[in-house]
Amino acid sequence: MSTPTTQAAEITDTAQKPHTNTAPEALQQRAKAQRTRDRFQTTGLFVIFFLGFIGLWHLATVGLDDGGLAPTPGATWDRLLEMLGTAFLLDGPNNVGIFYHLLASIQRVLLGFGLAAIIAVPLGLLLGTSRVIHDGMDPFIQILRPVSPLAWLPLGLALLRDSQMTAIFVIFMAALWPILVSTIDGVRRVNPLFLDLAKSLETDTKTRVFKVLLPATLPAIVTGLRTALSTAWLVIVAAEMIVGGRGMGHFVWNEWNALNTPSIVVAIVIIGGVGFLLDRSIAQLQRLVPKS
Amino acid sequence: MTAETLTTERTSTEPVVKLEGITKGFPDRKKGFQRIVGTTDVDINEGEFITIIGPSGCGKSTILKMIAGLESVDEGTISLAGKPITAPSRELGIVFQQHVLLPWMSARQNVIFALETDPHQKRSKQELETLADEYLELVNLSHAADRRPTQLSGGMQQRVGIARAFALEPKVMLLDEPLGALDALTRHELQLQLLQLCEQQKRTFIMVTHDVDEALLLSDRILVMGAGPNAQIVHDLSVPFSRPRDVENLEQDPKYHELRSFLLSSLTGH
Repeated sequence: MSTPTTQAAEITDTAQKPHTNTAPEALQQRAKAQRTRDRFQTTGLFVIFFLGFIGLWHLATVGLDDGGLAPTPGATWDRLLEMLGTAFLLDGPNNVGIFYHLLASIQRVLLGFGLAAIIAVPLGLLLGTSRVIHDGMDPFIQILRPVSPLAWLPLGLALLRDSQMTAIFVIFMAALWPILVSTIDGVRRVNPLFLDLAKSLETDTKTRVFKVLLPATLPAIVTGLRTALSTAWLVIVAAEMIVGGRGMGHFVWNEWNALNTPSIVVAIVIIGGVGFLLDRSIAQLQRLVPKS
Repeated sequence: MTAETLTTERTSTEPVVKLEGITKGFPDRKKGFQRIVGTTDVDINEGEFITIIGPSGCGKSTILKMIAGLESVDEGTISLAGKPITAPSRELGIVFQQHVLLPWMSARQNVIFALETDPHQKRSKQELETLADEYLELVNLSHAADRRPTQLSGGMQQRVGIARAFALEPKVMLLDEPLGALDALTRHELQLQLLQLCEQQKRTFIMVTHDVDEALLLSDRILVMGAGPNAQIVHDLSVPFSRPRDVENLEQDPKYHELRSFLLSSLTGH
């Protein structure tokens, strides 16, 4: 602070040392080569695992005395091609292509999930903001949340008297809790100073909710939506086994009744793939979310 | 200042902010109700830069929050220009210790947010942008107006916060350890910028800090609080250096060092 500048001459500075640096281009080349190597290894490993899996599968089914019930890789492959060939078939109630089964399941899931989101997000914002309302409501949430959504199914059939509506109702019950709980949690984690700021600017409730609270809670809401959608996709297959009609669950159960196991394997792969795509698409919402 | 001169002055210059017998406490599980801020009276005059300094836990930030209307007082009243403060108001601009910038908005949008939410004055989009840019210019941030808070350094984030508070054109600026979260180098730089700003923009400032040099550099008056709980103001010092101030001149002034050691000893209790 008050040190005289004349002392600068006495400072010993030993930072200057000779260096020979590698050219930056060479360093970049090295990093790039490493990335290519890694990618090559990943792909190679995947191919090895896949072939190994098929091989094991094949060996497991060879010479199995089960009356031809176990799906072999070959039979499954043939069945896959056949199902893809007739995917868009629509010939009476008992002859429906896999595409329409898939479509029915997706429709139910999106409807039930959408209804759940419309109710759970605003309710979550309210419960997250008001400690008093939350504590009054919490016992209901805590008791109903651990219940399997399928437990609601008979009640739905009895009260709604419609299998389609019941399936949607079950999905609704499956999707409601993850969104609600995640939204409440998200509101509570919002930086309290954001709310102080909003108050000090004399903002009205509408501005506070839509310009501050909602954007700040969005990451938690998207997380809740992702959990809810994947839960809904898990539940729909089981629900459709019971309510029947069209749908992946119904298809799987029907094929079991026909002892057609290769179809079930194909259906499992399709259900997994579509579940993955659904999750990816909702994850895109996360791009709207700012990093804080 | 004697009681007599106070009463004669009051007729001509009414204090902008008046704290009358305020206290604040919190229920404590072990000790019952714990009073943090003991009975406090302060008159803050128009155009004054006043700093509240004190050991941590003495409730200095709580006092600032009560003036801001973000915390209620247990006893007593706080008034702004003669009217009691019961809720937050745009007449009190707050600069928080951590930056409180909305992360999904750019620096400019953050300033615009403060301007467009004004219930008393509706401005066009064009006006809002021009005005926001003016205030960012004030803190030398025109080049960073389009950046998000995460793309700004700590010092820049705090400058956006300062620009936003000034944009409200408040009667009183409340600074809650505004530079407390910054590294030493940035902090020193911003102290000088803040000094320039408050000498330029004639306004009333109330700052809370624990940095003695910062307090001496910026303030007209320093209130020293004792240790909590039940903390009270133990010293009310006027800082006699003329304005505009210059750090180097200030540091050569023996009065500066005298005040500095007085403050340090009263804060540490040695």
